[in-house]
Amino acid sequence: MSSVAMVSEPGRWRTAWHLMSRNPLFVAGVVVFAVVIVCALFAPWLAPYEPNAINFADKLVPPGLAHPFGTDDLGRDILSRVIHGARTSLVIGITVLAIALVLGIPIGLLAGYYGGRLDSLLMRLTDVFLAFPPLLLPIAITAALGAGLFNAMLALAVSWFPWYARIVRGAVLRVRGERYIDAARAMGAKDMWIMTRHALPNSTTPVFVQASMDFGYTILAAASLSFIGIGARPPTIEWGLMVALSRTKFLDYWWIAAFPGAAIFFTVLAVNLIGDGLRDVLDPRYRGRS
Amino acid sequence: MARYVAHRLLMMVGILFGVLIITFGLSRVLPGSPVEMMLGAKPTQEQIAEARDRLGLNETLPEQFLIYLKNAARGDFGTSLRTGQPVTRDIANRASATVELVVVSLGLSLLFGLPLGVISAVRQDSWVDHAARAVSIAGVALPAFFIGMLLQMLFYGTLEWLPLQARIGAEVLLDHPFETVTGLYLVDTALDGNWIAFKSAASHLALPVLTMTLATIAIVTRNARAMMVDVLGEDYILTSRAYGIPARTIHYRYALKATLIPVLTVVGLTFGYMLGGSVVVEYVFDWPGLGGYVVGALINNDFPAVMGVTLVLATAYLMINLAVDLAYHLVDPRLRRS
Amino acid sequence: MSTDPLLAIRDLYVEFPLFRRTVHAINGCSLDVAPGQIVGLVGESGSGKSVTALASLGLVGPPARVRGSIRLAGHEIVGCRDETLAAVRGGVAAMIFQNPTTALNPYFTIGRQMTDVIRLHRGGDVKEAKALAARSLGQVGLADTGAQLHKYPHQLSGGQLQRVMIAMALACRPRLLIADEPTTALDVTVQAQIIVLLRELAAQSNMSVLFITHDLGVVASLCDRVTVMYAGSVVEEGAVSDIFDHPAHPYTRKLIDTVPKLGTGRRDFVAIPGQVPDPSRRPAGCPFHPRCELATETCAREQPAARPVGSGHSAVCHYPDRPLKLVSSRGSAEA
Repeated sequence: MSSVAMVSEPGRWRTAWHLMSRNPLFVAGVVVFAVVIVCALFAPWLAPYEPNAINFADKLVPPGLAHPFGTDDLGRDILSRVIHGARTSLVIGITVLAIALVLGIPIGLLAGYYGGRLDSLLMRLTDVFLAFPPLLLPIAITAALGAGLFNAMLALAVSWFPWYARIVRGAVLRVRGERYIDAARAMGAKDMWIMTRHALPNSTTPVFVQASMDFGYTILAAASLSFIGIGARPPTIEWGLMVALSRTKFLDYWWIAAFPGAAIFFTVLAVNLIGDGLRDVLDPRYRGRS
Repeated sequence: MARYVAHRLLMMVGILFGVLIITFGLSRVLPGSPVEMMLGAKPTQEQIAEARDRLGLNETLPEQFLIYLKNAARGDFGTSLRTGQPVTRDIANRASATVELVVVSLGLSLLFGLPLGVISAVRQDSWVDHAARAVSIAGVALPAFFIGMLLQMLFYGTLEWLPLQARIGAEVLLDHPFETVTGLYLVDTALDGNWIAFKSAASHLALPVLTMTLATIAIVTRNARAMMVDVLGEDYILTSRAYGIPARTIHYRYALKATLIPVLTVVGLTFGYMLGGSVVVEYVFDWPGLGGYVVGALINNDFPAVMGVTLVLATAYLMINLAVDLAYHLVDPRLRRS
Repeated sequence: MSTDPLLAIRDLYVEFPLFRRTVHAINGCSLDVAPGQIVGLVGESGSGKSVTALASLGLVGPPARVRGSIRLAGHEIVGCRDETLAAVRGGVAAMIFQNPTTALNPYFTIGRQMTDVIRLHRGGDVKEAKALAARSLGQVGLADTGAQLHKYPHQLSGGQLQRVMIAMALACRPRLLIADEPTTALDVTVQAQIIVLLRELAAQSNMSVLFITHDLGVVASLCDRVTVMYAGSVVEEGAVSDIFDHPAHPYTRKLIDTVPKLGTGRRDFVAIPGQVPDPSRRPAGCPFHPRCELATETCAREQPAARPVGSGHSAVCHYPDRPLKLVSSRGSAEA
């Protein structure tokens, strides 16, 4: 059975895609996520109304023909706002992961490649960041930097990078002992060259798998920060913020909370299904598991 | 074992030191002076001078950090801007509500999540397995605040079975007061034999607990299943099968014991998620614990309060993980004597 | 030889369905172990010998598909009910494994694991089971048996653990011991001790042994009969002396050639050229033909049947008696 894993690199991706396309949950995730991406890219053309247009005459209209998802207490069309919210969520996911990778990858490379004192110092650093319960460090950082979506994203990235530092370090440690690294060094290759050309590529698959799993969690965490009032603020359209703003009225007007909440759920669900599918196929440790 | 405990304690102190560096750093990057933040709008000159002195803002940064450490060690996190009380006292007043919420939720999450994960590993591809996996996948995709609001809609709005928020009915508290011993309402009312108050406390606890449980059960189930699947693939399980040991004994005695040890780490993990989640869930249910306190503090720029709670919860999380680690060493015969 | 075989495998097929292909692990394997006999099951890794062993105790379950017949002490194992398996496993046939350090549960003491098994098969209370476990440990040459019972597996060496495994097997008084490469993971000196121990114990208790190995040297010193497997099917079967003195199948002859010969002053090591076929893409005809220097068109087309080449000695080959070009292959190896 190990022969499945021992396919050459380009062939492996083709095999991976083949295997994944047979996983109905993965395909469903891809379809839903594609819808989210289309919404994000073409929001102004897809949205039937201006998402921030206030219209008190049509406030709190239940879902119907004119407003499929109804309107909120300011008469804004919820469908249009949900479509525009896709932009914010995708931007959040991409930005947070990008910053976390920019911080985490070099730290992991340095720790894994040089080892010794530097390694233990950097790893203790990640320990400290991971010592906070999830969500608490982002809250503290956002509180210090000041509420706002960008600060919240920065805060999430800062509390997230240790995971990537650890993954990259692990991958580097696995190749460090290999002959070809020694050979490169013997031929006078610079450390920087060896790290980026040999050590880094070895960590792409685990980092990619982890990032695909984290994308959804990032969106969730950002929505939570918006919900408690330190993330996105009006006029930014963010699903978590929409749910937060519905708090005083959602018991009587369910649709103002239900649709943005459902948008978060389906987006994160889709991303997680994609992440699961990728992990099952690309990460042999998990093959045939959960 | 003693050496290991000492080593782990030392490591924990080191990490706690790092945590303090981070919270100290955060309190110094605040926009505006920390004094303004601490004293709110329009402080008097004396107040400013006194506060600068107390925070040691006239000293060098390392000296400031030493003062910060000393204050933290004494449990002095400053004065809350919102309540005007020492943050420590606020935390002490509210901790029990969070403890009650987290402990009951953790218990339920493990009580249902572990067996579900184990059964779904033993009967792979059965309907239980598929259901458990569906719950796991969906559970981690729902934001906790949305779970809470959906439950409010259902159990308060539609069914009218349970109260919307708060920790106990206000009129119950007036008409049927009880003595506060532990701060845990379920325990205190039961000790008092005050069943009316007990019922009110329990019904108020139900929805927040259900929210926390639903938000974390996926993590428990997923991990328990993965670990059990791992164990079932071990050689010694094959040995047991080859010697005709009944499947039930293998699954629920041999494999479960081997699974429970790594599952201990899940307890620590889940505890962490609950501490983080309590912020959001307590806000949704107006629960008078630390999480709700943090949100209130955030809205009012009450920075000392935010940092105080962050430190306390991080410490609690560290201690739980330490306890888990030590328990691990007690249970696993391979680690016990090393 | 007149008695019925204790273990009789007939036309066994085992398939593992994968995503887009099926791995044919066993392709029509037949094999007998008579009472009191020690049979060696030999082959390269991937030849299906371990799967055969596991299937004999019904340990190959879904999603794998098992066809054919395995009769163990009169019980049909293929497709049988769980009760039959429970009666057979341990009691009729016990098994020891390649890696003793992972084959015992790390979370329970040796004593607990042995008494659980003993009480299951022999009944009795914990005290009796403990006494029996201690006696078995003594039989396999472990000292201070009382103390050993209270130890956890990680506190013993690999050799000691394999003795524990053998003791656990013996305590059930099985009629057949299936030993799946029990010495592969051990040091050479310990290997020899375990082999001697197995030989003595088998003789003492008139126990049959199915000994699985890729080490022909071990087979020569331990076994009465040998079955050689290649790519999931049997290629040759016979008494040890016949197989070693007159190997009939080209594969067996190559295999015997690969054994380093002691005392000849040189170590001739002739690797068999080519590779074991991918079990999901078996060649047509004789599975060995792509690697066989005698192969003809018939070999590539027709699957050979077992044919007798001596008394109690058969080979599955179209040309079992043709001489191999041994000289040329030796020459190339030396060059």
